[in-house]
Amino acid sequence: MNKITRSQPDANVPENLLVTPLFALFLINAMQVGVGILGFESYIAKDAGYDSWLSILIAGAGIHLLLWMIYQILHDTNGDIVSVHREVFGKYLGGFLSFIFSIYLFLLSLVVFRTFIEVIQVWIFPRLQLWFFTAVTLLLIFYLVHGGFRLITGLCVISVLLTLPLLLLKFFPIQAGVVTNLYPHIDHSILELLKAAKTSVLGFLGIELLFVFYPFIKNPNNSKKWAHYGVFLTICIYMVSALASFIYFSEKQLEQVTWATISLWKIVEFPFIERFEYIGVAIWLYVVIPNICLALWAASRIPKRIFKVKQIYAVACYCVLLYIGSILLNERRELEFLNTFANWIGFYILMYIPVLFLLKKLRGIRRKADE
Amino acid sequence: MVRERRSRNQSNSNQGNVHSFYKALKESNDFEIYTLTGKTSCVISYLSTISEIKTLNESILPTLKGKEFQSLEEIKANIPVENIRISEKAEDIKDRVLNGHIAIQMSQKDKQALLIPAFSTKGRKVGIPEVEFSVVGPKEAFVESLEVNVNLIRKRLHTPNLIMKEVKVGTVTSTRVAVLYIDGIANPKNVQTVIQRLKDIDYDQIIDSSFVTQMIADNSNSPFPQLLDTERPDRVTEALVEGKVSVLVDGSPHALTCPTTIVEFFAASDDYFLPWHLATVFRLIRLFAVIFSVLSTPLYVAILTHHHEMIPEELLATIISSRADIPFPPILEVIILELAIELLREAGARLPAKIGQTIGIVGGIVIGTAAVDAGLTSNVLLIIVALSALASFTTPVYQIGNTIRLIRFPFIIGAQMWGLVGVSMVMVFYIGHLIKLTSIGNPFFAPLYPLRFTDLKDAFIRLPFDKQSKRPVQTRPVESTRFDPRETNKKRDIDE
Amino acid sequence: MNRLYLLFIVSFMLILSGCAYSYSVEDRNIIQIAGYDYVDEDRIKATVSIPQFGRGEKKGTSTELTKSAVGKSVKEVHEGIQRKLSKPISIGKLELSIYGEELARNGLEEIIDVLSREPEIGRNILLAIADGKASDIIETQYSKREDTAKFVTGMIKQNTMHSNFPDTNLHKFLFAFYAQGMDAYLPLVKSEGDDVKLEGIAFFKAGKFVHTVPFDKSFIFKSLVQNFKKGTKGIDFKGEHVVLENIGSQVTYRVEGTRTNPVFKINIKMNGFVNEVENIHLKLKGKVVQDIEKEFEKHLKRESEAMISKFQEIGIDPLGLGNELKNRRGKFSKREWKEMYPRIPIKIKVDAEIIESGISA
Repeated sequence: MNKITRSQPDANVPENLLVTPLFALFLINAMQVGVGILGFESYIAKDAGYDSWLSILIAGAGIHLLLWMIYQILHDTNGDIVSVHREVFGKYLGGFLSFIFSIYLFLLSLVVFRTFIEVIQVWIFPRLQLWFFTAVTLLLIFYLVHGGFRLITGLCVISVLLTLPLLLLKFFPIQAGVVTNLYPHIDHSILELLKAAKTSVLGFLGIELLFVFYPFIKNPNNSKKWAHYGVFLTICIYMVSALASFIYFSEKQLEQVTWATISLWKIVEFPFIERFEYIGVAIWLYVVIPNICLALWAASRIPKRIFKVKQIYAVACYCVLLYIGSILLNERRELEFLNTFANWIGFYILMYIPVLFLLKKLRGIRRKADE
Repeated sequence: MVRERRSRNQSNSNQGNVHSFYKALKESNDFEIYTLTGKTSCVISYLSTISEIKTLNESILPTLKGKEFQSLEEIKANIPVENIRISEKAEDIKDRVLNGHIAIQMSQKDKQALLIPAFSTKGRKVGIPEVEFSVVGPKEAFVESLEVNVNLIRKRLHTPNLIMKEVKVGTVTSTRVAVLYIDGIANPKNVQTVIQRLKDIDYDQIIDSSFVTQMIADNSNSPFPQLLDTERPDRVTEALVEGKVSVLVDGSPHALTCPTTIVEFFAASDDYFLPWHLATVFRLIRLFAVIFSVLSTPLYVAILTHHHEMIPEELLATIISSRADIPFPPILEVIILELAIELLREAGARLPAKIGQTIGIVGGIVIGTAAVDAGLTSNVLLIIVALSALASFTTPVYQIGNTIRLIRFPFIIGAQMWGLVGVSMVMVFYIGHLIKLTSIGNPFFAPLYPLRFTDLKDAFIRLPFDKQSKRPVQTRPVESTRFDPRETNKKRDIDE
Repeated sequence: MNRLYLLFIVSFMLILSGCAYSYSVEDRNIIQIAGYDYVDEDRIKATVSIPQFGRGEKKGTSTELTKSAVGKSVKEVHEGIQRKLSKPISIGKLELSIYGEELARNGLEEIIDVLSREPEIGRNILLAIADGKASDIIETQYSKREDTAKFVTGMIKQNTMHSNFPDTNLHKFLFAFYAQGMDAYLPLVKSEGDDVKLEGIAFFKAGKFVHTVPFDKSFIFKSLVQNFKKGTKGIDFKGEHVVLENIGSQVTYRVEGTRTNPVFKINIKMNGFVNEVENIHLKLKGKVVQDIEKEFEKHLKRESEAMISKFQEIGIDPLGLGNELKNRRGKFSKREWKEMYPRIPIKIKVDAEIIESGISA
């Protein structure tokens, strides 16, 4: 009974579909940097004000730890989340948990998708024909997911390479702002800092996707280093964004601003073009699309592994759900609720990782004792 | 599958009977067949239009008239022409006669035939490259003859490892297609793929190398060419040394090289003839030109229609006053002008060179100015469209220029729909498409994805030759080192 | 083939649906300057000027359309203006927004809210207070070549960049408005017949216009709030008038003492050269230069102390000292700060250095 085959044969991925370990950096980073970064500053500042940069560091450290745990879990199993769950919880409960994970990933893609559409509605086209825009974008997403994991990885690489230069634009607000806002004087309690850290952890959601694409990495052991670099890069990006916003906005003003990063783009001016936010939002599509594609791919991969259905059907199914979901969620209030709900689940999924880690370790010890 | 069966049928019908194909040939007036009488009596047959009569008159007839021969072997030994062979296979005889050999049989009924090569080359002389002209560097271009083309390559590559494999393609034309590669550098997998794909072609005619490009491409529905075609032998040589495979088609003055990448289409031969800094700057200018050519009109539509806030105050007055009183929205204005430019281009391409130039000037200047004066288009847009047309001519490879012409239209539609977001969406689609695309099984979007840092040395920039110690990873060469960089890059102290 | 047709139809549909509600740039009335005035308790009057661009020969000269409307809220007024126009208005390129004195004295909160909410509006636009009525400024044409918006913005901008006027824009205004220990200031402009000029600086207390500083004192205020590189200040020296041209001024704030008992130290370091002396015989050498420096330091210190004590008296904090205190000492309470502000010591130290005295001795 205890004898469970260590690697599931169906988790095996053909050699030519594997990606090199280096891409773990791009995959992790592209998944972590989504729409959240466009407006996370005001949320964390609500809890800890200008001191919340410290919270980002705390959250970042936590994420590094969780990433380490994920690698430990996956390394022992040499499979993906479905194999881990099957091994720890058995076929039915494990399958159920994996399915919940899949739904969570779908929810993640819905949140990103709908939030980005909201950004477009608020900042560029207040009178966007929602049904049409959503349909076209989803067709595009379907086409890309249809291309498979390698294609999505490629998009992630392009997304990271394309958006890193955008960080240089932070120079404009830093130049215009009040640098003494960053004077390191911590006047918030540890509790407040931790609360802000919890909020900023939500920005770092995305490492849990490693649970799904781990078998797609060639020499996954070598990818550890790159994945950690990826997380580190994310923390740096978040840090720079937060600091630039803190310099540019006064503390109470920041609370008024919903999309701080986009507001920062407003003041970017070149002799030939002004008002960078329009370009910024357009370029952000390169961040959002790989993000949604990866989440959707991962979400649809799990049913393939549990129920042995064709992944393309799962993707199509999720796409339809995405369409319905984003059409129905029409109000800012509903969206806010969706966001909080997804974040809440995301947070508990992150908290679930240490639990899984411990269960896995205990199991390992017990098996060793048995032998 | 289908192809094999059909070709077998055809060869079956011809098998063993030379006469059936002679019968078919007799219908043509240029087919000569007659019985030679005299000391030796034999049947001589050839196609007068492609065989050299001189060979017949000077080498064959005097020999045959002078002595009495009993067998073909005897004749073979006495005729002073090289590469003579005796064949019994009807297929072989047919092929060779159609390729300009003179066939000699002892009697009409005989199966055996002596085949004397007497192909008369009546083609263009090797000229200067016209599409891929370069100021410095070699100025030879391929012609329509396979032999001459292989000769142009071989005389640049003195290595026994340069291998040429010939495949016959086309059920009717049975065109000779040569696959060239350097053994020991080129990856055998690529060679195999190319040969296999050539063999799998099932089509009646192969007129040009572009037929082959479209038929062996990995994705034939893509607007991007997946094999690079060139008319420069030096470029082919370069590609072969890098470990690529080249395909030459008889009758086509263009050679194909593969596997290739998107960035290679923007590299000109000039880049290697100039010092590396200059080459790098020119290559970047070319890349910028391509981006400008594709995106300038879509951005015009997007910004004017949806994001006028982005126009700086100083520019606003200029743009608005140029647009004032124009009856069409920017999208129609752009489509009309772009179509006009395409029209000029097509007309220019179809007309003889001198008239084409006139049409270009007349069309460009007269129609453009008239359209602006009449208030149908704005002069700002006219400048943009003209510049983007100009920019699209900077591509060193003609094929990709056509692609660039086409791919801007989806961008224009996207721009009209959702402004910059629409442009971005079309771009994401193209990037996804490019990532998916392969060239003979190797990724087409390299070195961007898969990210190959070492290949970036000769992608957007070109580093000096002493930094190019490795052949591109893209082609997966068997032997990847060009030279040992340690010796070359040794640092010397002052005054040593 | 069927797929091709589908593609064609879809793209055609796309173009058509795209055309449906978009207006090209020339089909909009682009408002670059807007002014708001007080009508009564709950109504405001907006005046906008719309440049009319023509083709060909008309290109160089500027013609404008001035429209105004009265309503209860900003959006309502804009709608009122829209009613009088042939093309939809667009405030995306707004460069300058002017508020009448009376309106500003009654508080600008509502308008500020619109400005901070509207995504179309840039953050670098200028705000100004009109000494009198905003509509007077907008309705006058100042130059044949430039329209009103360009002229008035140009005037404020060039005085900020090349002269004594401090930096202001929408973002700085919002920053100060929302910040806890900081009050905003804006340029005060005045129209005099066919002319318009910068009258001074208008200071706000929680969104209400309360205080002004005349333009000739703006050098002092500017040197207190920001680093700058260009400006001129004349002082009296031994009965003569000496003009000092600033080529680099740096200001640093330091907070000493505790959170409840702070002492502010403001250091101004200024390099400049003398470029105009009334008395041609005054030799600008050695001791004389040092004396001028001393005199200048004294003058600047005296003036700025007077200015700050006036601020303290009124209870406005345009220097953002409260913000500074909050950043450095933490645990900031707005109420406490309000109470203690009028009596906290603010020490000013000026360090002037004359580097050059022009090309003739």
